[in-house]
Amino acid sequence: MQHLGNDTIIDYLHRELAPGEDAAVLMHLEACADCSVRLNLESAIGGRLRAQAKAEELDLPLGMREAIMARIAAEAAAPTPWERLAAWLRPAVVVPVVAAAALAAVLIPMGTQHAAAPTLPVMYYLEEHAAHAQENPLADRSATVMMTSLERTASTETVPMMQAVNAASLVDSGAR
Amino acid sequence: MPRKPVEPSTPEQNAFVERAIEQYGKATYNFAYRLTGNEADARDLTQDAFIRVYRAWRSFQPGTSFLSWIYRIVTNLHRDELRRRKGRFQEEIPEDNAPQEFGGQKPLAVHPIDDYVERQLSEPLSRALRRLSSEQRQVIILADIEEYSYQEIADIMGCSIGTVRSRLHRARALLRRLVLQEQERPQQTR
Ligand SMILES: [Zn+2]
Repeated sequence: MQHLGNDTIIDYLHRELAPGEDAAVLMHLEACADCSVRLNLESAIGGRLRAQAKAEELDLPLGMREAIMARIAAEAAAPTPWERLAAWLRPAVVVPVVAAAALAAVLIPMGTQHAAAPTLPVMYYLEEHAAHAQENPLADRSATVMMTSLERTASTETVPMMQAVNAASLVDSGAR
Repeated sequence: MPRKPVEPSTPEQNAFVERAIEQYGKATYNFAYRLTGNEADARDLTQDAFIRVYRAWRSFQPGTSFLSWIYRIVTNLHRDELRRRKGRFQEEIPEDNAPQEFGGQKPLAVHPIDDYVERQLSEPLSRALRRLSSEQRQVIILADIEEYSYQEIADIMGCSIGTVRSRLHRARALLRRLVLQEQERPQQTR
């Protein structure tokens, strides 16, 4: 009589044999004590693994949920690409940019002909920023305010802004 | 590696993750613990897995098994971590081509083994599990502890049923051999 292979016994134990083969194995097991003992051993190993896993079962560590939710909150607050760019620009770059923009805005009306005079809103914002920058050049809040208004400035006043940026890059590289 | 922009988290997204931790956190942690064999790695793995759940929550299909999904995530993260460590530490886990088993048909003496096994098996099994390759250990955990079908294991591990089958056969052969060695030991007056 051909005995069952170990692999067949394992597949049988896990109920993974095709129906025909499964029935044949069952018939063999009923007639063969040796193979039954081997099946029992495999079955006992499985049972012992489960019992052991259950006995060793751990509770979720305290604070795990909070740690995960904190990481999620941090990830949700992580900067978008635009915010990363903004972060890169502030405040070392932004402050000089604004200062230079303010300077340009002051200088341009005084007789230079290559650009139109800034409109009133632009003047207002630039002066406002210069004041912020002087009060507290490194304050995150003022830098944020400056970024927002820089966007508005850029859309209404291209030429002085370009000059301001050029000036700012000089200021910035000089500062290092 | 650039990450794709994360959508702003919504209350339902957070609620989804919280509920998932509540219901499956313990199972996930225990699965990670059995894979890694230590609590610190299991903790990291569990956290990372739920972060993935958070990022990919929309790809979870309701009506499918969440546990299978997160086990798959844990399995992948664990595999990545092992690859990363392989460069830095000496690999202590044997490769998948584990030692060959004895001739498959070794006849056993006919005596009741169950009682003995029930009492004495734990210790050798713990040791034996540690000697399996990580793939073999995974397949034992999934097939024998979690009692998944071969098809479900293939889905979780991202491999074919044939691979599941052969890994399980090898892993079981190793466990069996260790158990039989332990069993013979008391009879040999050493
Ligand atoms: Zn037989």
